[in-house]
Amino acid sequence: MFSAVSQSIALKVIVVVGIAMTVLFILQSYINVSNFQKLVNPLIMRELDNSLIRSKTVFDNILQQTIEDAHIIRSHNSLTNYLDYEQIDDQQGSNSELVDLEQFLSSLTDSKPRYRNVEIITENGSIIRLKDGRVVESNHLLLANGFVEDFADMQYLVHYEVVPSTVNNQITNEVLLKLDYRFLAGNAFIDGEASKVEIRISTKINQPLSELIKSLKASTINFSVLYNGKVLAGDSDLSGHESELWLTKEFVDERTGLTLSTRIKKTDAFLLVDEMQNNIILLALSLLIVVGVSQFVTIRLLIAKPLQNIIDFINERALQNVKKVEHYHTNSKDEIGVFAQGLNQMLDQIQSREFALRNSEERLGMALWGSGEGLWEYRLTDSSIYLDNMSCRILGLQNNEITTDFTVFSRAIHLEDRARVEKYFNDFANQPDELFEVEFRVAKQRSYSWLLLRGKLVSGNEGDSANQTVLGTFRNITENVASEEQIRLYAKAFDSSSSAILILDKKLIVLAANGAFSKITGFSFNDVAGRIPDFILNSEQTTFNICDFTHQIEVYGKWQSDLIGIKSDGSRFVQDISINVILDSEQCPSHYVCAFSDITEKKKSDEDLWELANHDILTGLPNRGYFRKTLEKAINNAVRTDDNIILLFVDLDRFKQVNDTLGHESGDKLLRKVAGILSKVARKNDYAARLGGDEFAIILERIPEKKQVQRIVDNLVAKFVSGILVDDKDTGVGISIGISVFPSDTIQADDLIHFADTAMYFSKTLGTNHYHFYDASMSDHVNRRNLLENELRSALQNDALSLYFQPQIDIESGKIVSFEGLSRWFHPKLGTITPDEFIPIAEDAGLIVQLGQQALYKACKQLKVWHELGFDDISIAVNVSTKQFLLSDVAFDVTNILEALGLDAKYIELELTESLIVDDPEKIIGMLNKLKDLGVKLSIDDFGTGYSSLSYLNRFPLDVLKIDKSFINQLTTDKKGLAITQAIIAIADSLKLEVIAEGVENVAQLKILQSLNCKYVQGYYFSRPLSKHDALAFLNNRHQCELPHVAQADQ
Amino acid sequence: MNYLRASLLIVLLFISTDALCERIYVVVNEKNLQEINAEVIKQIYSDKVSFWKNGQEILVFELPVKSNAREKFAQTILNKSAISTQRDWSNRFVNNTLKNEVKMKPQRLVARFVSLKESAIGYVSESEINDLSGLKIVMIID
Repeated sequence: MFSAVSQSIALKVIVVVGIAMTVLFILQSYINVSNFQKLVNPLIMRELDNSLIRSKTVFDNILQQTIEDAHIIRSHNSLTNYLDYEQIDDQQGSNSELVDLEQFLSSLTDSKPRYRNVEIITENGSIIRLKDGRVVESNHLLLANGFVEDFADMQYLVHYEVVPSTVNNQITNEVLLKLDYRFLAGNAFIDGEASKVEIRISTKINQPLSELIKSLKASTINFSVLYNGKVLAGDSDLSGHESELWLTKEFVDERTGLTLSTRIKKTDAFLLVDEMQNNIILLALSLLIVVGVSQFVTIRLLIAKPLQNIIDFINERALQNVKKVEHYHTNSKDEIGVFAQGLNQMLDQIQSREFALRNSEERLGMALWGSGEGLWEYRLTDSSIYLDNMSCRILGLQNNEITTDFTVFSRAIHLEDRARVEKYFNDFANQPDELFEVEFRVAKQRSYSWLLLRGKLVSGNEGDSANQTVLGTFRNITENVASEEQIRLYAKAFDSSSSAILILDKKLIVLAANGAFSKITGFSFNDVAGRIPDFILNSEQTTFNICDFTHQIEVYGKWQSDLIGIKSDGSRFVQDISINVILDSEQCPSHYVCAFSDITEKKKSDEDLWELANHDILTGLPNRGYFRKTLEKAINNAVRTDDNIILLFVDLDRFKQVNDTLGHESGDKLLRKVAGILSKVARKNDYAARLGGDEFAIILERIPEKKQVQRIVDNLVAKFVSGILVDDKDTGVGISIGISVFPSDTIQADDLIHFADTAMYFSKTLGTNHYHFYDASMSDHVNRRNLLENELRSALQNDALSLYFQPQIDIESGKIVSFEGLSRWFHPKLGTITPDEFIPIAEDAGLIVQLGQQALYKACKQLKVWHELGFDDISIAVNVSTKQFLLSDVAFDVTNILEALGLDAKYIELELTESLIVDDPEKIIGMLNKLKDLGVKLSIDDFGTGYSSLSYLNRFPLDVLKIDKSFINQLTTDKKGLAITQAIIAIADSLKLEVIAEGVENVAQLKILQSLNCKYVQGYYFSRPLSKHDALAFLNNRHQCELPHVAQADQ
Repeated sequence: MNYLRASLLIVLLFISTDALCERIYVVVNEKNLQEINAEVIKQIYSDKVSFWKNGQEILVFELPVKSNAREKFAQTILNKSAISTQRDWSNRFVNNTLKNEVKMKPQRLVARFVSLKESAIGYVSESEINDLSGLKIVMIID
């Protein structure tokens, strides 16, 4: 039996499933029945409750009916009247009513035969008793037995009693319900005392009880009635009521002492449940049998048999060494059919793999033959080695396909490698590893070849270590070794390059990076591997142009540029980067080589050099050369954008004085300060430059309105008007500005500069702190000035200027006391040029010193002539320009001339202007004192026209005041002129200074001056300026002038 | 038919004769000094007066409805049948408007109780009274 089961899957399944199902069914049925019992139990208990209630209701109904009958008796008029008569001792009335009462009670008990006894007992001793419907006792005024005096609170009392009775000669027990009904009656309304009355009724309840017991019995419920522990009715055998075999319910009426009990046997109660359990088990067993049989048939016929057929087919045919594979034929579409199809496919695959394996072996042989590799096999047991033909050829052995001792093989190895290889073989034999790999050289004529011996450990049978061999291939790797050395060399060069080098694939993804790359950028190779090096090419700061890059790569195969890259710490650096493309065999880009180096420092050096070459070191402003380039660039931009350009030419006035007086250090500070002012005045996009010395220029772009330019320049001039301080001292420098405009003035850069320069010069001729826009007429003005400057320079070199002399007359004596030397310039082409025109040019051009020296020399020389001619009391007065005084040592010049001519200084008078004195009083006083020490007379020319303080007249070593001709002209026309002249003469008199009136042109003026005690006069009234010849003639003819007398004048 | 009519007439005559012939005494306790006339009796048995003048509550005795004396009394005093007067008492009792305490007793008991109770009033037929001690006849209905 067991062997049959063990050989059959179907039986195994059936046994296992059957046992499981049986256990499961039994378990399930037990659980279900238990649960059902739990469900049914309350129902049964409820049924018992209902039976109990029903029983109780029967008893209650009997009792209630008995009580109602007692009520009826109580309420009957005959009883109440009887009681009334009894109470008032009316025997006649009592008797009358007693008859009615007995009739009533008889009729009542007749209608209700269950009443066994009915008794009425009064407090006054009357008793009326009926038994089974008949009056058995009716006594009046007798002492009634059993009358209960204690009415207490209870209206009625109930108790039960079992009495034996005989029915059909059979003694049976009769169950009685006995009611004692008590009440008060009588004429209480008369004397306030009622009479106590008791009605006793005995009711036979056998019949309702038996009906009740019978009906409950029909429901298999046993019913028992107990009274005070005794069984009144029902099952008298109450033993085992508490047994587990019974279900019991009881009701105890504590008022009556009655106990009602219903009970049912559990076997009866759960009879249906037990039957259901048996049915379930029976059903389970039936199902088990049916399912088992059907499963057995199914598995046996549908699974086991076809599987056995397939197994037999495999054993017989498929796995036998048959070249042609036969398929297992079946028409089944179920799982077995699918399995058979899968088996057929598997057989096909086995066949195809065998075929593929044979092909693979053949290809391997071909591959080995093609690659020049040989096969070898090393047996660990006997240290013999098998070598095929190719191996023998590689090793240089003559034999074909040998199995030889290892020593034969070893002898072919290069001497330097032999020991290493033998050790490797020995180590491998002692401790075999999976992979065998060793390289060595073999001698080959004068050179040697590198061989690679590779193999794997192969065991004959599993776990057979004694039969282990190493099987592998021989390969000549000489060329590989050489290539590797070359690669190592390249790699070394790659790594040791000072330039960062990245190898990128055709998508510009980083494949390799050298050490310099990390050194320069701070990125490791891992940081950038697999990424596009955007930190080099595509950062926000870079100027990388992909179009340019693509174009350069496509056309030239390389691209080079300077870019700004980002280091790993986020800092920027300038890189000189080049990218070269590597083409594949189809001339398509396969890789890119990106090389770059950090040229930040070099760039900075270049920028410093550029800064040095294009900027002024002192002020930091662009220099003239860079200014010129910038201007041209700005012009090109303006042409393109159709904008204008304003060029300001700025020149400092009196800058040389700053250098001379405050020193060059202060001059440099001043220039830096001015540069700062110009830079601030210029707007953000404007451009200020220092052209050299004290010349500056500002390029203003895109200012459409002239007013804006004026506003800028006004601000600039205003700063200079308020004074430029250096070291807290006012430098007194001014500014002259010329302005030219592109394109309205010119479109040429050179002309724009020239025009601004011309406008600046024009401004300068009008004094300091002026500016002018260029105008074509300025060119004429400036050209003439430049012409005159050149001509004057030439004239001075050629001594072409003349000196004229105007006599000064003693107003008292009329004698000629002196001449004033006046320079005159008669140009052969330009005609006479007035001193008012050429003296400022001489001052600006620095020619005033030479001019002054020449004038002084000529004057002194002429004076010497006059002295020699006998006019030895004549003096000469010469004008000295303020600039001449400042720029040269006048005292030194005078000394030299006087010494050269042998003249006494007392005949020399130098005429100064008030401006000289105002400029630097302390310095001038020292210089004047030097002249005074020589004996030279000093006079103030044009006195009264300046703005200086009169205090200097006292402090300065002066001798003469020359009243300006403007005051003299006003003598006859304006009282103010007379007052001023009078005041000047008075001041001079008080200071003991001589006074000379200039510009006397008529006699009226002369007379007034005479009246004012002016001592000397000069003017056209006496003589215009004369040439030296005319002056001599004047001396000869009119050495003493005839003057009108004051009195005459008055007349 | 005529026989039947004659028989009925005889019966009715007998009944009415019985009713009319029996003299009825309306009695009160002898201690009751109040002057009581038919109108007072009517007021009492109509339950419109419930106190004697001395302030005592009136205890009213009625005879059973089947009694001839009651029928006569009802028709004479109250001008109603005995049944009708009993219905009036019952209605007042049910409607809780009953003022007097009224008790229905046999004539012997009525006479006895009235003699015993000072505030009582009742009526009995002449034949039923053996002893008038304790009673005061306030009205005789012939």
